[in-house]
Amino acid sequence: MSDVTRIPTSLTQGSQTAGGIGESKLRPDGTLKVTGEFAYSSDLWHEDMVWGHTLRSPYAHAEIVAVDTSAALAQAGVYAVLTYDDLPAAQKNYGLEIADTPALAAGRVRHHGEPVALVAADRKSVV
Amino acid sequence: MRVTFTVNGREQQADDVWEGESLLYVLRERMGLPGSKNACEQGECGSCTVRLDGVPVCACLVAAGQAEGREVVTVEGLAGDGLSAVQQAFVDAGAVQCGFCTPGLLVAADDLLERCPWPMSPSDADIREGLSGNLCRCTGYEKILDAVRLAAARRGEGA
Repeated sequence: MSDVTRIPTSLTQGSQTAGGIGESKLRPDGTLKVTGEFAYSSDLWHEDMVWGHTLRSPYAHAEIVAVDTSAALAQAGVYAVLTYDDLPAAQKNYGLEIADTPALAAGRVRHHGEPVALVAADRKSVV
Repeated sequence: MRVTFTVNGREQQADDVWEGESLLYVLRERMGLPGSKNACEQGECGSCTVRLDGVPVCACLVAAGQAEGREVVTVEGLAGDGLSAVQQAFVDAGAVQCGFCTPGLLVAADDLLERCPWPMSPSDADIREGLSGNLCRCTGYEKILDAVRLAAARRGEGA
């Protein structure tokens, strides 16, 4: 291995004054991220945690005639199956400017992959 | 089935492992080492890169049983008392953004620099090839290349 090796670009750009405008700052979470310690949501673990899964619409646009959660709830290890009706009033809809997107589909799905129901179970294999 | 292998210098064991279970799953969910990231699950992105008997592999494509009796090094095993040279270079060069690709890149870069010991220096082509199996969705590739150049160059300091 030889050939050309480019010199690393200057680590500081702009102002050479400490604390000045343009000074390169180190990321506050940089060290945690290079050691693997930074916990992303999929890295979180708790002794008594349950596993969650989202049931999503296989249709681009369809009316939801009925949702029957009884068979899912009857399975061993299933703690909860939630649909739109189970959501608290303040969490039923969301949106950046206007809260008009249902958190779970209500009566109608409007895109492929729209969340319809949530399942929580004690093992990943169950959900 | 039971699998036993060495992870970052320590012998570890996992029971009730399903035959089709990946090394990545065993590391993350059974051995409490979530540093190796689970993203594409098909060997495309390199986020789960670990070293198996020194060779970089996508842990999502290695069955846990294949690691039996072998040595695995993950991102958690790179640091000694302080950060390793390549870890420090990633921090200093601004090569960490969201950080999800970072563990895999560090393991790949660690292997690259080991195959190219000082006073050899990896060329840009060597670095690009060495990291070609690792995708960064933040697209921070320039700083990542800088970090590896920096780590390589720093090896000469004080020598």
